[in-house]
Amino acid sequence: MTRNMTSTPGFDQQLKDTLRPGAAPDDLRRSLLLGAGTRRSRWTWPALGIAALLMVLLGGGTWGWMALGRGQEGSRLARASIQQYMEGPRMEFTAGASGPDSGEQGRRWSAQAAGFSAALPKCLAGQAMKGGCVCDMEACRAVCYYLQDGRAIYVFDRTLQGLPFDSDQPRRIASEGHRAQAWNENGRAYVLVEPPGWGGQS
Amino acid sequence: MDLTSESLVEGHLDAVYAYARAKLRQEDLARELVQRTFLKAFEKLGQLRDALAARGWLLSILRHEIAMEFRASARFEVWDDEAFENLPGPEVDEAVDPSLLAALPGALDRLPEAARSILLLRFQQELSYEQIGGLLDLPLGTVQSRIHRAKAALKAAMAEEGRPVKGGAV
Repeated sequence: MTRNMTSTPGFDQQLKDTLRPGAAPDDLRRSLLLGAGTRRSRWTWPALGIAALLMVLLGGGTWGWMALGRGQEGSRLARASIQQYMEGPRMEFTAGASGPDSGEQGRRWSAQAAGFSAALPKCLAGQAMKGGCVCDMEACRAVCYYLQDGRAIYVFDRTLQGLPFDSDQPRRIASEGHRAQAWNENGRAYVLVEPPGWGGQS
Repeated sequence: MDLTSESLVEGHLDAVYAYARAKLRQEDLARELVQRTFLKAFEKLGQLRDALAARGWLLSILRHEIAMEFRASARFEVWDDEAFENLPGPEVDEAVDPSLLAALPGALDRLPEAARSILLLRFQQELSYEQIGGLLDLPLGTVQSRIHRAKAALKAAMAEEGRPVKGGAV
């Protein structure tokens, strides 16, 4: 079985040379570096903590306002999503498949169009979608999918600050008759927008 | 060494992506799981104490993501001792004919998942036996013997795959 053997460079070295990793796709690298830029290194957090303490001591509660602002990011993005939803559907992608397959179609499309792979959240798994578009809100890239039942789900290329990495308690807001809820799941922020009078289960 | 999210991407994306691509054999899925892996790593960067262990740490997150993705089918990583029983055991590091190397990807694909994984970890990711043991939760001796048996299986598969066609070049 192990014929044709010679004694030049060892098999281990041959394996290493043959399996040596090539370059990852550029758009994946860009997308990750963009995501990395929105986060702080582990050494930056202690520095920020010290700065915050100084601000509390010297600035009389300035930090309190900053923390409040951070915690409200979910509400801000939810509001921005409602605004975007009210402008009407913009179909850059139209689902050709029905049912669960449309979600997979959307995910593949988003990887090309938005530079990141936007999957539906667990609670919407298998939901049929009409189509979607790429949009930028609050300096963050998002993919919007319009669902067949009238709702829209916005998938952001990062998590919401001020909410846990996987948050099971969404931040809910209502604006102009629409309702929206924002949460983090699996490293992404999601905002689900329901139109006025939407009667399904959320 | 000060490790940042950016340095994690710059230092390890190529290797982690190569592992995902080789293991999953689906580009779209590989991209998605690598993306999830790094996003989780960014969130948990504070948990990484030793920058030199970053590759193994990223691969452990990736392997968890892969397991989650395939938890329904559970087709990954069962090491079947019987399948390897009749293969030659540890032997000298004897090279194969370079012309057979073209058959390596196909041969690797034909190996059982657990054998493919351990070879990728050792020869593509260049992890030490200790690191592989930590990642797969295996004793050092088991790691060594599995790598040797997986190599023997690979050599056999390469010889089959690359069996010279009369009058043709490889």
